Amino acid sequence: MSRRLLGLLLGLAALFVGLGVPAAASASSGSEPDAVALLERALRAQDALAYSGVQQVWDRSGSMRTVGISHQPGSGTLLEVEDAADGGQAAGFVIGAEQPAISPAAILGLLASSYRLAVTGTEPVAGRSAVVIGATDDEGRPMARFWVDAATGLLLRREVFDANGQLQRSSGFEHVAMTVGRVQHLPPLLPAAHGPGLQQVDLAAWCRRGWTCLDSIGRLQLVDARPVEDAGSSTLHLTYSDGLNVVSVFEELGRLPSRPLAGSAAAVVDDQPVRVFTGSPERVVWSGAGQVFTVVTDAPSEVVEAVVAALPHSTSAGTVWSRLHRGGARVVSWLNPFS
Amino acid sequence: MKPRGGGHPGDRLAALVDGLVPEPDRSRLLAHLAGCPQCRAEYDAQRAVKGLLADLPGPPAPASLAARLAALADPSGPGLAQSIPGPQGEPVRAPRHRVLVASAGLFSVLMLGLVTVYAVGGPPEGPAVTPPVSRFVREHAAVTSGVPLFEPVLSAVPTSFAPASTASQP
Repeated sequence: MSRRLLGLLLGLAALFVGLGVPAAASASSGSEPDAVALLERALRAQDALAYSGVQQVWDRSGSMRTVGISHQPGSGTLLEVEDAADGGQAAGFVIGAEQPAISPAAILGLLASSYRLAVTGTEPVAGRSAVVIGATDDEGRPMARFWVDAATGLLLRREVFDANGQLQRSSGFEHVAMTVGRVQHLPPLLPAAHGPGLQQVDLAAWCRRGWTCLDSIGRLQLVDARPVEDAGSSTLHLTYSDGLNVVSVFEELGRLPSRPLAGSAAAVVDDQPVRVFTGSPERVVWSGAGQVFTVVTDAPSEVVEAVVAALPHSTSAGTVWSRLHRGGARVVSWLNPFS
Repeated sequence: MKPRGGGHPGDRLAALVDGLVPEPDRSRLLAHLAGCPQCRAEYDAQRAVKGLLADLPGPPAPASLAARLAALADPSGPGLAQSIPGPQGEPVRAPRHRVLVASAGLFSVLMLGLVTVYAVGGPPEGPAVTPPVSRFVREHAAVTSGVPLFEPVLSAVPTSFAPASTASQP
């Protein structure tokens, strides 16, 4: 597939995303067309291949889980997680969606524009021959690797690194077969968000009513925005991604209670006091500018720090100058008939 | 990430300066100030600004105005009509007094505006909100699942593990 045609397809796919994520692959940052085409083939394989196998999934919290995966295109994916500690099992079923909340093609577009993708060689994974694709940042640092099955295009393994080259997350098949057994008992359905979220004009209305709406945070681009239904209060869920990492930002109007949140610990992120729930995914909570922010992500710490730094905080609100600044902004907003 | 030292009061400092913090929070904040030089310095700065604004003197009354008012009160005096300078000149100091009055008025308006903006810019209002963090984790999983380039989203799988024998088998 030519690079121009691939860019066109990814651009059309991005149009289906409510926020209109730019067709980033058409302006990739030096990514090799062959590498992009291989990952695009991996997206098609997910829609076309039935497979089952066992993956080892590791994250930086030190958690290593063995996950049985059975995928049936058009139906969904069964996940069976084994707990290494007591040998127990938990299972869930993700219903396949014709239109997932985040377009996979848009994510590939972001990946190709945020990082340089290149084919680096071939390696065996789970007894199958795989093509290895490396993703490097602007400074040439390796940020991720993908192993794509040479025969079918199925993504067999992936690794994500932080800026210091430390492994942050990995998942890969120990063995895989292109067949699926019959599911005798349907396990609990896992939550899945379908369809486009808020359109740009609707999101702008939320922004005018006081929610903080950033289009991008560093490399991360806003890829989805939707209200959290039945959350008890009006909560805006913004999702950012650079193709490798996904960061959810939940915003509620109000302030944190004076009591510490149960299960959280006080911490400082980018010189800002926050509450942190460790584990996977990491959760960071704070309040500022009349909003309570909750960040949920598996991204490396430098990405978390960038997100925390980009959003408002209360600490600067105590200074005389910032109080005058905030008061002036409020007075102006009252006098502005269009706000 | 480093452990946070002592829980700085942040916005509540301004509320403390304004006398809006009820007991027992007020006592706790004062105890914190006693042991936290950073917060104490910020508290003192805010108090100083507030005191400065509150103690500002009003604009001085022009001496000529006082004299004319005294003349009005004196029945043997020249009366108001005679104390107002005519178009031909007397008294020549009146324009300077007008400038002073205008400057003082402008200064007062600016100070009033500054005090208003300072008061309006107090701690953000809003109800206390306890975010449903577990719910947000499920929402995060719901939105991010279905993208093949990402890892399997396991955070939404029930964390209370059942014995292996009761789990469903494909």
